[in-house]
Amino acid sequence: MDYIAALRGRKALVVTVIVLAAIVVVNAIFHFSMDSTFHIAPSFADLSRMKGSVTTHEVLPNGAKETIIANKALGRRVVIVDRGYRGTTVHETSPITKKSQKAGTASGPLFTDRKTTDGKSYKETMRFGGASDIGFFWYAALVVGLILATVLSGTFSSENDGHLEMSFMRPQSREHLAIRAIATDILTIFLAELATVIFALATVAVYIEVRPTFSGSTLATILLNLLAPIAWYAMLLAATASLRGGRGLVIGLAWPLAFIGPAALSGTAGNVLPIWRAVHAFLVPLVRLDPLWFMQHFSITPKTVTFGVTLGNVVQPALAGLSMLALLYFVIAVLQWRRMEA
Amino acid sequence: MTALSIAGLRKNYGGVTAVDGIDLDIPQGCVFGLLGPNGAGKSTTFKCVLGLIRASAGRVLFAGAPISPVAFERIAYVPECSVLYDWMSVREHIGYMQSSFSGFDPKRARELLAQLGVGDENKRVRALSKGMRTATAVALAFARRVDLLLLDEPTSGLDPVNQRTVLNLIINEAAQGTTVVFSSHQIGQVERAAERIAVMQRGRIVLDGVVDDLKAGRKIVEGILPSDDFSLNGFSSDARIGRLERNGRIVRAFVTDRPDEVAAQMSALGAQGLRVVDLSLEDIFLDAVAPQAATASVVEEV
Repeated sequence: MDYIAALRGRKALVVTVIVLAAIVVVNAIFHFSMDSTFHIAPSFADLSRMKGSVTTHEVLPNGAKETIIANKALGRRVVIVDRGYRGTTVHETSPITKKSQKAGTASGPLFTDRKTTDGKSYKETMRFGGASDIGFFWYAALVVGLILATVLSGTFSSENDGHLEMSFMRPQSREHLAIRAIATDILTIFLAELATVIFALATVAVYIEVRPTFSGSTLATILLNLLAPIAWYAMLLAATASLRGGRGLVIGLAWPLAFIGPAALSGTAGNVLPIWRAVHAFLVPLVRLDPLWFMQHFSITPKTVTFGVTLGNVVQPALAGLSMLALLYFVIAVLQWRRMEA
Repeated sequence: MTALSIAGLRKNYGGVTAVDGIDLDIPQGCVFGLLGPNGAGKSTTFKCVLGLIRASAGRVLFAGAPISPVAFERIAYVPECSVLYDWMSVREHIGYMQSSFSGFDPKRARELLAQLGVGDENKRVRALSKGMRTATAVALAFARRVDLLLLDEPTSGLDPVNQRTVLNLIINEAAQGTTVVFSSHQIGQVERAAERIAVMQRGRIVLDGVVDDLKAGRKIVEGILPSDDFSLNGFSSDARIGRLERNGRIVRAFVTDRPDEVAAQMSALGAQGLRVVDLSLEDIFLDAVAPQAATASVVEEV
């Protein structure tokens, strides 16, 4: 571990943990000072008010509150089992219509939605709270990871800014020193993401029971959300490795530029004007140098994040792309830094 | 045994030559003073020697081998400007040195810091004065067990008491076999500590040798002339006199050989109050780098 990078990382982690803890505390204060318990029943108020709807309430032996809303005329029946802090399950039966969604399963953080059909009716079971794939919480960690990656990415540049006599006088090769600093920063990013996941779980746990689970795609999701900040860090490191000052400007400009590229690519796609087609053709290889371009492929909605599908179609190519990109940028950064003069 | 051998060292920045073919052999356990006016190339030489900047030409050997990163375990360097991390405390710098060098002694570092008046280890470097920063850098360097110490103006910004302390540290290190190369603008300090010196000017070594030898061969013959317009032309062809300075009726002849004979000659010409004095290192330095600056009134160059 590199001592300087570790010190910088420790300071960044302390700030991160303070901010995350503050979020948990604010949520706890909010939850306990006003009744913010999650209730799903009001979502079906429209159905319960319809003509012919009958609503019954019952307390089950396990203490859960069961609400049944039935409307024979419409052929709809909703059973809501509200277990309070332990979550809510909704079973809805409705006739098949043209608008009915296809059968399938979608999942999100603290949420699963299973749709089945027997040909005559359509059954949907929604579960809120309880078991949830831990992979989802790493998407929250991605944001913190990107911020930490940005903060730490000036590591070589800050050494160039008057400390090379200290850095390069250590009894290791410059490549070795560079790799140690990079490895330490990567560890810091990982720890920041891990802390975010823990605090995200704690924040959610203020409101509803959460039981983290693991699936076949959890590891890939974690890797993806780690690799994206690491590739971002590597890109900024490469962009600033030869700078003695002015890294703030480069790092600051990187954010808008990284968003403009993919946006311009999609904006010019399918345009018939030759100039825009030329711009598009130019941007196609260029955006692949931008880690954010890979990240746009795993924007999540409950429908798109069905892990098995996502893993095969999106996550694996993104993992490969981000890995290669990170490696390329690390090599460029180290090659630059080892040639620096004090 | 030669601790540090420099041969043909050259550093060009575009069309500017900062170091112009330096050759030096510095014996082990020697205190070596590097003198020169600002911009002479002293700091560049230090950095080239250590490979912190790439030399354009030349060869540097430490203990008979080229300097590799592994050798930095046995070499300590204090640069001219502070390279400490502003955002780190003195304690964290001790931790940094401890994690970087196996020969670093944190207890010794704390003793030296206390000796140099840097008492509060928890202070951030940004809160330290220039002198305290220099003192911290020096203490961290001297707390290592090394064979070669390169100190670029190690007393810069220090108060007289700490300057004396650092000089004593240099002398003590050399007594234990460490080779110390240091630069300073305080020629008195160099004279006190260094056994050998080199004087640099415009990237070149213009004078080098053992301090005692350099001083032994050179004397000043001082006297008072009978009148302000007294002619000294008779000395113009005298090979023993390197330079003549005249300030009103007072004349100083920088003599490289047989000063007593020169004094007798001046006495015969009517000069009074003649005396032969040793050259100080400052005189030797000024004589080497800026003869015209040695006095305000130069009457004749021989």
